[in-house]
Amino acid sequence: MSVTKTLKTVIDFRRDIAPIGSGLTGRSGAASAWANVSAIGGVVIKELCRRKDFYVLFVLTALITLAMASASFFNETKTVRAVKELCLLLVWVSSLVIAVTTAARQIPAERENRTLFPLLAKPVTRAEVILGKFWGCWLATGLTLLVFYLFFVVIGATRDGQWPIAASFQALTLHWFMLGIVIAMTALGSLVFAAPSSNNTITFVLVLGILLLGRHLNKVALRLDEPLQTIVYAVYYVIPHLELYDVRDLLVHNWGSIPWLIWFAAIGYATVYAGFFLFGACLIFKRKPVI
Amino acid sequence: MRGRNSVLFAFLLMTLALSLVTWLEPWFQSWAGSRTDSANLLSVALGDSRRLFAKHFYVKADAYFHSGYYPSIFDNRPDDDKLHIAASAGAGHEQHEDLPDPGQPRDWIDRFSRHFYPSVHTHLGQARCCNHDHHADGHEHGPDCKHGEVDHDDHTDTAGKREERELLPWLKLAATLDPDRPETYVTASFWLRSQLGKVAEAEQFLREGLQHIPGEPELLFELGRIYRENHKDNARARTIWQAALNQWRKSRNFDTAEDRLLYAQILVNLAQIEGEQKDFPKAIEHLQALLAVTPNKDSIQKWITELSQEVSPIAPK
Repeated sequence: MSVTKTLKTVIDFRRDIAPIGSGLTGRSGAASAWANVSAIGGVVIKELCRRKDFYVLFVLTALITLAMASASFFNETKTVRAVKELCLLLVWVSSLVIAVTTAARQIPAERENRTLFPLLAKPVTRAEVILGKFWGCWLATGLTLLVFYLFFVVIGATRDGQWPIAASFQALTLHWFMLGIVIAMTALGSLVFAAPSSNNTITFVLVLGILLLGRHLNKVALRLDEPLQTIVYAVYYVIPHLELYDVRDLLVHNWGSIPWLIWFAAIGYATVYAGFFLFGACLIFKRKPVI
Repeated sequence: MRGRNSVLFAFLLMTLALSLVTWLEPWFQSWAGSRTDSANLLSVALGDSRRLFAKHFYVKADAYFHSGYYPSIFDNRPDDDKLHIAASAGAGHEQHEDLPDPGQPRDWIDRFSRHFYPSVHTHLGQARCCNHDHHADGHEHGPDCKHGEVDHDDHTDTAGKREERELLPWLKLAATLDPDRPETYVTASFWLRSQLGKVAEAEQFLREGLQHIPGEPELLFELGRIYRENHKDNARARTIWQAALNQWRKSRNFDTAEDRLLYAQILVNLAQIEGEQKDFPKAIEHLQALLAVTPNKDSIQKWITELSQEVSPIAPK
């Protein structure tokens, strides 16, 4: 009870989402908040369209994949899995770069350009700014992923004649929700760390660390002595398991689609972690001086 | 005045640089670590690290053979150094320890995560009836599965689809990065000729290997197999295996199991071919050499006895 009360006094979303003085409550307040969030998100999407990051990365991915696809090994022209693997690797690298760098510069850029003051004076609450920035980055990465995966499916189909629509849809959505966690984590980092560069570096190290080691921490823990075993196992349970969303091997080796209930559970898992990081970001931003 | 000093200083630096070049250039040309001798761009760019990448790509081919199912460095791996694709190619499949199964999940995250990566042990060319853990409690076969528990692993549904071709890019890359590794050529050649029907490509690849590692007995042995099994040219196969045997005796010894196995394989094949050509004394000579290394001395001795009877069919009892 006391915990609930404390949290409510720290951040009251009903009041924070519908700004003081707007006179809006309930459904109209939520509608107004949604309008603010989507407006801020729209700006982020436009920014991504103006910047050249996505175009450069997409052209690079396409060129390297097509070069690999055009190569013939031992006069065998129908090898497809290596091409798919390379393409998906490039898609993952590109999407992570776009997601992290876009999310990391949002708040610091607003602060540096001094556009945060007029933004907050609209009136838009601080929580709406964070949610809007997250929504924009997430939607923008979703759009880029759509283009990347469309390219991947077309390339795969031209080589082996298969259209794994369900498996590709699952891979795309899982990838997108994983990026949701990463973007929320980066948004939180942009309020904690002094500069976008340090935030970028730390987020990349964390994300790559989880992707490479997350699945194996339990095995490492079991080989350790106490109390290290408990600590490492606790870390294993606490970290967001981003590697769950890496279904590239299933897609490359034609394992078919995952059971939909499992897919849905993974989406829920990502939503919880993204929500947790966003909540943390809102709390910090609410208390942080704007200057 | 100041400008003149700057010009003089620049001239001094240029003279110094030129002097250093005349001293460094001859030293650099004779330096053992210089990579300028190599015309290979990869060799110049990567140096010896390319061997690490080559090993990675070679292991990648083995992972592809298992359709992505592969234990990490944190999992239990067989002690045997030879990869499954290589064991199938040369050393005999039955002697190779296959990859272990993942076992029971350790916790709920482990159980959940097995839906998101290949956690079922299969080989290329085998159909897969389900995409989840065969060893988990309550495992059920997928709707497409027409196999019982007993013959579940004996799938032939995808045989003929030539999925083994997916190994080729990684083997080719591995050979490009480390051309001095004979195993890569032998493995690629085996899959090319036995599963994909590309005998000419297999022979060509082995010959490329022999250009990099002249006289390598493993490559010669595999080349002999192509002549015997694919070209049905026993005379040339015998010549090549004889060369392989000579090279083995020059460069190898009985210290490692792999070398002993290669020696035995060459001798067995030579004995067989000599027997077919009715050159029984030569066949017996090869089998007697084999007796020194084989663990199956009884069967080899029996073979020798049979051949001896062929030499003197009316020998007194």
